Amino acid sequence: MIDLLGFAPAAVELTGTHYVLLGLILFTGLFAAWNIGANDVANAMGTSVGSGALTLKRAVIVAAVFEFSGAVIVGSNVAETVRKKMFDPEKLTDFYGVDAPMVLACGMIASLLAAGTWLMIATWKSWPVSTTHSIVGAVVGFGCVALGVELVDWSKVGLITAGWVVSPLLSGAIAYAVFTVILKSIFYKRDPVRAARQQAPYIVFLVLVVLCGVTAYKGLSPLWDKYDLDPFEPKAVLLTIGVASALGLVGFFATKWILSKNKPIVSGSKDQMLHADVSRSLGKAMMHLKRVRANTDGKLNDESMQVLGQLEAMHKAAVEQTGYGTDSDELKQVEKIFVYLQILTACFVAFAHGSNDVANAIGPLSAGWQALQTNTVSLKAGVPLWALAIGGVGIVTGLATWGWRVIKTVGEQITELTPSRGFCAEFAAAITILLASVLPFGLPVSTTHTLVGAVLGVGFARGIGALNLKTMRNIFASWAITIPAGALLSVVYFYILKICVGI
Amino acid sequence: MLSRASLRTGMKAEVPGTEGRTAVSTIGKLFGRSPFNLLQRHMDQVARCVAKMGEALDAFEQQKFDDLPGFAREVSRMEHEADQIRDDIRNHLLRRFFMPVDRSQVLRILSQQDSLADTAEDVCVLLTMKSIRVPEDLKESFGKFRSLSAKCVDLAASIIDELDELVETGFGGAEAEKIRSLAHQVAFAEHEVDVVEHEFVRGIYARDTELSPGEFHLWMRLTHTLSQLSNTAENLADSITMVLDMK
Repeated sequence: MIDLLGFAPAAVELTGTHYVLLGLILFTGLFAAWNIGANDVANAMGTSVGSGALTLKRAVIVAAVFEFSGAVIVGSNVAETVRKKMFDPEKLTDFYGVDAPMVLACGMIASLLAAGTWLMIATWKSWPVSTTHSIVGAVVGFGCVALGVELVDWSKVGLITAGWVVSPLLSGAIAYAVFTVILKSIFYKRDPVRAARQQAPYIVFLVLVVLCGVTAYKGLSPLWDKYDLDPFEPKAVLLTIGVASALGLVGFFATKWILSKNKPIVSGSKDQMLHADVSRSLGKAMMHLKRVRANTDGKLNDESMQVLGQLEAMHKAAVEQTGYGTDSDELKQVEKIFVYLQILTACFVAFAHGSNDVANAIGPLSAGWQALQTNTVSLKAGVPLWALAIGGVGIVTGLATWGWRVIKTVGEQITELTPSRGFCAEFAAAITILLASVLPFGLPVSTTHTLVGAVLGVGFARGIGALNLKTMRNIFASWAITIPAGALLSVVYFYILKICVGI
Repeated sequence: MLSRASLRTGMKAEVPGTEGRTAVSTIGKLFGRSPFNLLQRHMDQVARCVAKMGEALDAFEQQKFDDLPGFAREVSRMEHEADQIRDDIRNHLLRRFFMPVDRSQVLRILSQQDSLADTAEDVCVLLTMKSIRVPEDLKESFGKFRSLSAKCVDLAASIIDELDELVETGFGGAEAEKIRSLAHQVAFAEHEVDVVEHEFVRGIYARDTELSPGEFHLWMRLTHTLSQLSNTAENLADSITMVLDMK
């Protein structure tokens, strides 16, 4: 399927117009990939920078490595000509006859340009929008004007649109649950450092299992298609579960081993620590005895005076021995453990993102390229390796030229986020992506949407100092207009191209 | 505590100003500025006011009456600075912010902190009204009264100082227990203040014929105002226990 030099030899003589369009396709594909790198990746990595888990430089390197490897190694080798099968491109032949491939190419150029433009506006305005929605909107716009409104599969469009309502809600709920569990099992404990060290292997196990699932069903999903395998076959499911739990167990024991090698910095011995209630009860007893002393005289007064003296000494000793283990230094030790977990999650999310979202740019690119080269219109288009490389290079370039600035601003503004919060948000996003990919009806989710929802979920679990709900409204609004905006831009570009090419 | 206080005061007062920057991230803007650091900054300033009031009371006990107006001016200035921090918080505590603690509770904590500074200022001003001497045999109980009142405020300040840990641990668990036990200590200290205050007032009443009406009245007002300090500190501690997640 993969032909390094391109596709099968051209079936028709390529004219000057063809060459111009081929150049335009390459350029717009790169442009779209560049914008994906600038907008989407930044939102995924910003939380890691904001929580201090990664420095800006490291975040950019991690994102570049994982996005690129995701895009090039497992990026889809077979792309649907029209992302998410919004309409049947073969119908174009009924409308345009021999011009159909040219129309499709123009439509793909218009879609790529529209998605790229919209993403650029969004990045400039710093709206965290979904790249998938931009391209879907653009393709729908093209479909509407090229084929007519009735031939677009609106139920598919509706499902994708529903994704931006359902996925933040889902990831918000998951983030709420995850954060509550972490609060109860670590931060509520008398000695959070010890609790964190006890829980860490289990968390690592869970994280690795979930992330393996994400990788198998989302990150590597193009590979399943490539080898014509069904990931939901019992064998495949068992294999995935087996590999995931094996990796999880490796992580479990590795964490145990690492933790046993690094003893925590203990301030004073924790063994004789008293429960906080002890000193409080003693304090209460003192208060009551003082009241007794104030309201009595004679023998009772003298006796209460004596007992009070003893009580005071006991109370003082108890207060000194009461340990809470919740000083900021100890909490910092807990957060240190979460730093590694957050970095791990961020890597997997970047990988899954790269492998899936690169198709947003190179899917239409390959479709248009194939249409022009072979002069046919088909449902699927092979994606040559150079197209994947263009996508990967585009994403990394976008990250390097604009994305790092976005990551920097995002990171600088969310310093209130600690690694434990950041981990919860990213882990919840990863779980949501996994759930969405294994669900039978294939709910389309966007990394951006799930991440924003997860941040809100952590906030509702009393995890974040202050969340600006007005900004939330703006974010939702930008999500809502992404599909119409992509469609509108695409229509405009398509008409301009149509006039220029003369079809 | 001091280094932390200076750290907090060194914090740049931005957020609304970020709109002027070229690249403002919407995701970044989603995170408002946490009100808890600001509350701590305000409490640090309030604690400084109360400490200055302590110096003024030292001078008062040593009958250095000429120094008192200077102290009163200084405490007034510090109280004004605290007010500026308070206004800053009120302006930042936008209605659209979603916080782990109800907005009205944050505002109540803030106003209680604020009234501590006001009380300290009132005490210093009262000291300048008329040069009165502490009766020799009441010196001890007056000293106990004022130092216990200051202790109450210090304890309340130590609770506020734990706020960032409280946010970190999600307002529950061991940290919440710790806060609650601190609040009990404040309540206990307040009770102690009441006891010595009554003792001292009894002493003043015992010499109502020796004191001039003006002196007597000033003593009454002074003790009453000073006792406000521990009462407010106790209320402040109570307000904080209200936001805890208790089983």
